[in-house]
Amino acid sequence: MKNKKIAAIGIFGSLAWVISIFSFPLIPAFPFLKIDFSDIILFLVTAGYGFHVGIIATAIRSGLSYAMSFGEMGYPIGDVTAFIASLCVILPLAHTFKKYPDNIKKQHFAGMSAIVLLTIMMTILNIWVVLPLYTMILGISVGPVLNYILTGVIPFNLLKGIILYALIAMVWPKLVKFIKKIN
Amino acid sequence: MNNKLVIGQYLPLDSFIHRLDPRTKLLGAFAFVGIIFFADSWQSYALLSLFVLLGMMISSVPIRYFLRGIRPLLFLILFTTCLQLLFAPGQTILFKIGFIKVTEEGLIQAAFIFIRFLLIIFMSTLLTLTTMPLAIADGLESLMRPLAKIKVPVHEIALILSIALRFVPTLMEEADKIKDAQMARGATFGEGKLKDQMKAIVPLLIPLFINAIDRAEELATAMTARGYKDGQGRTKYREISYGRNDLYVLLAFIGLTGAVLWLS
Repeated sequence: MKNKKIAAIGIFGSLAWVISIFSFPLIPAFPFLKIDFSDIILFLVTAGYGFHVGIIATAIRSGLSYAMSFGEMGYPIGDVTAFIASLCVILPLAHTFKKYPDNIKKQHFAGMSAIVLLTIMMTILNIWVVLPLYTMILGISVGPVLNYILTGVIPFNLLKGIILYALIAMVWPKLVKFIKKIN
Repeated sequence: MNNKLVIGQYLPLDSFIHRLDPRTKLLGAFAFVGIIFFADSWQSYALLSLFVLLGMMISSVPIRYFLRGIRPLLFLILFTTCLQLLFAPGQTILFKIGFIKVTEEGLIQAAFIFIRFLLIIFMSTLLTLTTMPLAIADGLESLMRPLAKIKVPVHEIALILSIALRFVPTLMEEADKIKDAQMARGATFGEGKLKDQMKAIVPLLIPLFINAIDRAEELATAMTARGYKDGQGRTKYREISYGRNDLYVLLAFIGLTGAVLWLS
């Protein structure tokens, strides 16, 4: 790995974690479903330095988050889920924005795909992996699964996807010239 | 903000636990997380609690540092315990108010989960209070070394981790500074409608990102200028080595595992 990539992964992984501290819930009924803006930084990094750097920096952010909180009873359920969720948003967007830096139509299409991908992925993960693991490790359940998915997971992820994409679309034109300069 | 940073809470004291090899402490903490799931009786929980309390005592870290570790997780702990208390299946009803009934089984389950939470928090806090973050990174690198055989870039991962840990305080300070600078220009954070809050975040993210690009560039140049080139054949500034005490602690963990399995 080149020195440039090593330095970028370390610094942006760290920055993403610092930003992820400022997280807040979107739906008052589910205070544990939280959004933060680290995905925006990680998207910019992926667009600038490539998928390699972006994915590992995302892993570093989630790893730091795990190290700070020790996960759920020592198991990194939430942090692994957050890692996958971030990749769902970052990868399709970074791919399109890098290839078509000025094509707004294609960017909007990628944005919508990312939102749909995020929501579907999180629904599947929650039903078959996250909720069973929570029940196993913490011995809790969030009530009827379908109810939680329909009123919690799906609206939360749709809203989160929309907010993140809106911010990315706002930030991109201001930063595109810096990102082109990276390589 | 800094009190969220458990890993930055390293307390430079000199105790038996502080002097242990970071690998021993890492292995111990992870083994503990595994062991605790086998505990399902009062005796096994009592033994585990005794073990953790002993560790806390010989670390000579004041108790308030451990209690501080609970604070960020307080909500999750109470939430989980209450759910257990109210919804765990059980026959022996202790008392009932309306549709809320508390059973003996529920009460025991809730107590177990509560103790489990506390012990895991104390154990992980013990690790981070007595081990420097960089020592943890060194320990992880050493523990991951077998993975290098299957082409995992272990040394690079450890270096990246050290860089990330090194820059956490710097970047936090920078985020704070930029936030203050924007507030001095009339920006407000964490107030108003969602849309306004979103707009307020943009002037925070852009300077942070651009500064980080420069920082990464400078760091990469510095590394190249000092001749850094992949991890092969490098010597270490900080060396870690096993001692006799590490052996005793590992034996104690093996003994604990056996005892918990026997009691459950």
